[in-house]
This record gives sequence, structure tokens and C-alpha cells, in this order.
Amino acid sequence: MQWQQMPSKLSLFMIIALLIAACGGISTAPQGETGSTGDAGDTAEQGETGDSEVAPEPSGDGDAVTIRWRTRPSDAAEQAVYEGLNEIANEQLADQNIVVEYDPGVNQGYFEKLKTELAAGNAPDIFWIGAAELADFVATEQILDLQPLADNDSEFNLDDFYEQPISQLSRDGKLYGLPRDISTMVTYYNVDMFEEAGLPTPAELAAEGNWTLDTMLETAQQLTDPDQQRYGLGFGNWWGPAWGYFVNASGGSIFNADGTACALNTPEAVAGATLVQTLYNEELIPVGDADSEALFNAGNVGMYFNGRWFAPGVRTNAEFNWDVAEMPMGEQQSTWLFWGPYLVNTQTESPEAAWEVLKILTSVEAMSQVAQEGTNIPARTNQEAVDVFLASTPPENNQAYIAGTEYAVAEAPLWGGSWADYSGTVQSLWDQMIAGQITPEEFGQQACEQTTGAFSQ
Amino acid sequence: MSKQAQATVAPGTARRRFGAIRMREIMDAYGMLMPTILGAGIFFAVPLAISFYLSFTNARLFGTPSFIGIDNYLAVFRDPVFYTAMINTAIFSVSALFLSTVPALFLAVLLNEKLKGLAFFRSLFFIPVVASVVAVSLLWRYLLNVDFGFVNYAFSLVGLPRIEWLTSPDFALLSVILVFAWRTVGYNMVIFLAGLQGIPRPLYEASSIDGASRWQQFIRITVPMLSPTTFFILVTTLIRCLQIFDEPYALGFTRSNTAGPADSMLSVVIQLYREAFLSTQMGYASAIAWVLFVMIMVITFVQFRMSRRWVNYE
Repeated sequence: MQWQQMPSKLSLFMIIALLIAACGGISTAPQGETGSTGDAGDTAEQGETGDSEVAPEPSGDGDAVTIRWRTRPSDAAEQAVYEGLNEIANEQLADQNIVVEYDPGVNQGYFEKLKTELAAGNAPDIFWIGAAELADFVATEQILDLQPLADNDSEFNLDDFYEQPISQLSRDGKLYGLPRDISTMVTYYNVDMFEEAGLPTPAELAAEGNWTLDTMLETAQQLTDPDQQRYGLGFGNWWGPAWGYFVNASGGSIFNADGTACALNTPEAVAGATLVQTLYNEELIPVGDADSEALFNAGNVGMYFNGRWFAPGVRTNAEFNWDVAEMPMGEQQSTWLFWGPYLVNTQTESPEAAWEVLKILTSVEAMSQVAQEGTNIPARTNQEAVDVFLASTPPENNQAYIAGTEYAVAEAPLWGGSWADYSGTVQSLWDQMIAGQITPEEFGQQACEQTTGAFSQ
Repeated sequence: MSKQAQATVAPGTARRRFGAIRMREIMDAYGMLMPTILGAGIFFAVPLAISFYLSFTNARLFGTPSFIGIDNYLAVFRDPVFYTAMINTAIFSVSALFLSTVPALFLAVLLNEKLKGLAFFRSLFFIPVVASVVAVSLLWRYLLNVDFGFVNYAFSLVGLPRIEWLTSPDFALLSVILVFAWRTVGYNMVIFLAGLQGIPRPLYEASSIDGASRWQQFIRITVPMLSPTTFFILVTTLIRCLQIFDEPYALGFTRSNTAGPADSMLSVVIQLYREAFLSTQMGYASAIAWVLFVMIMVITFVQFRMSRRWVNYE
């Protein structure tokens, strides 16, 4: 009887479905494959049902190329800027039959997801990473060399970008990406708190040439009032504003000159660590808060070290007057130049189309839009882009960010090792030091002993 | 079919017909089993075999792996970070096991009584089990915030000191234990409840007639009769504890790739994850996975052997 064969047929169907599910790839692109070609009309239609931005239908003949790109926005406002950029890119490239699709990245686990997607062959065509991660990504051999494309493009000029990021991206005659934007670290300060305490602000001290680590410490001591839960200083407990800045400002460096070994055991680096331990011991900073952003925004912290990306949040949340100043001078004037490039996936089916999209994403217009929103500084030195950034207030003293680019240490990929291993080990020891479990000397010594493996990979 | 007709069928033909039917039944059975066999094979056995192979190679996330023998296993046992992860996992497991089983038993006994609003309370205690671990962890991050958190606020009302729950190496692991226990108690409570309802009522009635107190009933009847349930809960909860990942990751994984302050929330599986997806050392991470697997197997085997002494299946 017919029904007797039903179980076998049903099982066969399920087996086939299972095999298709197991062997099929995962793609969030409307056309299926990364950088795949297909019918442009279908692309636009399917794009409307997905999470990604809607692409206008390309006007040219033949199959359209879809270029998917990803960057990690700090917040919804920044994501809206990128979505707007995506629309502009689609309008500008419609006549070249290129469909551009923005794929906002997850916040936690961004790099893990990206690496896994690269290994699985379904990463976006273009993606943003933090500069410190660059060496790890180049080592995957999944990053397209853009130098031939740049050489063949007469309209494109690398000299328009800040020099430090481009020099980090250029290696062995190859160009591994283009910087999305940059950011320098500055001192945010609560103007009202300084007025109330009758103290000169960091900007005023800087104008007198007296904004140093010593005056910063004195100012922090005078602003701090534990009973009022008020602290003189705050900064996130991560490499940039914590061990990175204080070691550099004290005349040291987190790596040796060629980035092949740890340098946290030098007297200068230990001096930087000792200063931070003093800040914690005297409770001049919110000891129990790993990142005192919220406390600064609530008006409980007088000075706060952070990059430009912090500004939009302060604009939204702070109910007090605030401004920024350059970082205090130590043994040397120092700050970080944070930056991150867009890289192109070697598996993109159309490097030329990806290059066209990349040029739009790193254009003066694109960077101006991001700068206008207030999140970051344009990675191009063009006056037009810089002017848009300077006009994005508050803070009034936007020049402090630009001034920092003159002497900043650029966030650098660890070509001679694994940044993930290095930063993780050092951070763990740093936490022990600020908890009082080890001394600054032991921190430096153990950091360099325990990170030798990070440089042998 | 008439007797005459039956008689005309040769014995060989009948055997063949029977064989054909039997074969079709076997084919149908395997056909129906095949989705499960293939599913388990493709999504479980094959990855398991690949992981075992990778543990003997220098595989990264990219490139072709080379065979390196037992070097990864030797490296695991020489790695001080692995021992930190092991110690943290051991402390976590013992504490979290206790805090997620003993309160669950008492809650189950309480909710096994005929009280008003029983269904409400049973649901209430089960809510953390069905809630998303990430959402729950984010909630606890706010609750445990040193400056604005409700827990410290409540402490301050009764004169207790402010505690750096998530930012001090001394308290971070305790926070993970508490959040895990809070999430797990509800599940264990439901299992205990099911076990309690299987205990014959006449045992309690007879003991009451003999003058046994409630406490004596609990110790002499409830605990022994619940022993198979308790054993099940101990085995499954301990395995979950040894594989802890979600809570420390959501509560304390930092942008510097540390698990809590000074890696104080580092568990074996967090280390495995870090090696696999941040350092892209897939071979080494696979070796950690197999070491953990053997540890869990040995511990579970010991639990089974010891269960003969105290688990009563009668």
C-alpha cells in the first residue's frame, strides 16, 4: 500500500534537507555569496526584507556586483551615519552596477566573529578593524593588497591621509587598507566642578605651559572628596588610557623600538605604573569602577581621559559645562593616536568594485559626515574635513584633538607577535597591581617575563 | 486464504516472502533512524573527530595544519594560565554546585506543600532559567555596579561596606558564582519537585503514626527517597559548572581579552575560547577541550562509583 512507503519517503526527504542544511553556506547578503553577482532587481527587492540597508536598483546593463561592508558603530547615532553613507555609495555607484550593503557589526565579540567568518569564507567584502588587530588579520593572508588598485587610480592620493596610519598600513610594498578615521586621546573636564573648587582648568594650565602629570595629580587631589563620591580623575581600565598612556608619558614605551619585545620593565615604564598606583591608593579615581564614563557624565569625576568617540555621549548626558584639553605633559608630551582601517577581503569577487566602495567610505565627504556627528576625527588632512570636525561642538576646544596628532604615538599593530596575547597578559598583571597584589616593579618584570610567548608566534 | 491455498505455497517461497517483508521493515526502520544518525554524525561525531585530530596539530584558524604529536597536550600542562583557569573552575564548581542544589532542595520541599499561590511561586523561581543569559548578566552588571548598583545600595542601608563586586579580583568570581546559582536554582528546584512527588505518601503517614517529627521525616524519608534525583542533579550541575562560559563572558570579558579583573573569572572554557578565536590557536584550543573532556569523564565516573554507597533506587 502507498501509505506503507510514507516513512521511507519522509525519511529520505529529511535526510536530503539535513544534508542541504549542513552543506549550505550562511550568507546575510541578499544575493547569497559575498561579492557575488546576480540580478540587480532581485538584490534590491530582497534587500528590502533584510536588516541591511536598501539598495537602489543599479541602472546599468548586466549583472550587478554586491559589496558588503562592515564597521562597528559606537551607538545608534553613529550607525545612522553609516547607513546614510551606504545610501550615498549606492547612489554614486548605481551607474557602475555596484550594490553596496552595510552590515553593522556586533559590539561584543566583533573580532572573533570576523576571524571565524574569514575562515569560513563568508566575511564581508570590506570590514573595519582596530589598528592593533592589523597584524593578526594580515597574518591570516585573507587581506587584499590594495597597492595595485591605488597605483592604477590616477584620482587617488595617499598623501591626503595622516602619515602614521598609512605608514602602518604599508608594509613590504603592499597596502593593506585605508584608515576609516582617527582619534586622539584628550582630557575631558567638568568646567563647573573646577569653577566651584576655584581651580585653574587643564586648558588654562596648558596655556601657562603648566599642564603636567604633577599638576594633574595636585588638581586631582584637590577635586577629590570621597564623602561626596567625587573624584578628581577617571579613565577606562584598558591599555590606551591606563598602562599605554602613563608608560609613554613617563618616558617609556609598551614595546621595544622594533616591536619585538616587551619594554614594561624599564625604570620609565615602572615610574608610569607607580603614578597610577598612587592614584588608586589615594582613591583619586573611582577605584571600583572599571570605566568611570558614567560617573563623569553624572558630574562625579573632574577630569576624564578618553578619545573623541566619548564626546557624543557627553553631549547627550552631561548636565554641566565641559570642555577638553590636551593630555598632561610628563617626561615627554604624549597621547595616543587611535585609528582603524577598512580592509578588503581577498575572497571578494570584484576587487575593483570593492576599491570603488572603499574610496567612497574613506572620502572627504564620508569622513566629514562622521566628524559632524562628533564621533571621530577625519583620517584625511584636507582642510575641508578638518574644518567640519572643528565646527562640531561642544567641546569648544576641538583644536586639542588636532594638536595631539603632532606628537601622538600611533596605535600600532604588533607585527612581531600576538597583540591579543600580549594585551591580555599585561592587563591581567596590571589589574593585580592596581588591586595592590603586586608592586609596579613586579608588574613590569612579570609582564616582560610572561609575554615572551606572545612575541614568538 | 483457504487451507488448500496455504498448502500450495512452497516452504521456500514463504521464507523468501517473509525475508522480503523483514528487509522492508529493516529499511523502513533505518530510514526513520537515518535523520538522527546523520544529524548526530554531521553535527556531533564529525566535529568531535576533527577536534581530536586538530589537537595533535599546530592548526590555526587559517592555513594547513601539521601533525605535532602530543606537543599541544604537553603545552597545556606547562601553561600557568591553564592552572589559573583550572583553579578558578574548581572553586567555582564546588561553590556553585552547593549554592544551586541545597537551596533548590529546600525550595522544592517548601513548594511541595499545599500552600496558596503555589503555582505563582513555582513560576517565579523558574523565570531565571528561561531568561536569556546575556540579558540576565547585563541586569546583574547593573545590580552589582559598585557606584550605582542596587546591591551596594541595599548593603549601605544596613551599614555593610561597599563591595567591588565585578571590579575586584577578590570578589569577581564570587559574583559569577552567585549569578550562576541564581539562574540554576529554579531548574534544580523543578527536578527536585518531580522527585518529591514520586515519594509514596503512605511512608509519611506511617511515620507520622509512629511519632516522627517533620525533620526526622525529611532526613529519614525525603533525603533517601530523593537520592536518585539528587544524584542526577549533582552530575548534571557539576558538568555544567565545569563547562562554565556564559556568565563570566557576559559579566566580565573585557576589551583587553581578560575575563574579569586580573583574569579572576577565567574558566577553562573561557581560556579555550580565547585560544581558539582570539589567538586563533585551534590545535591548542582543541587539546584544552579534550583535557577538559577527560576531566569531566573521570569526575563523572567517580560520582557514579560513589553513588553506589548512597543512592537508593528502591
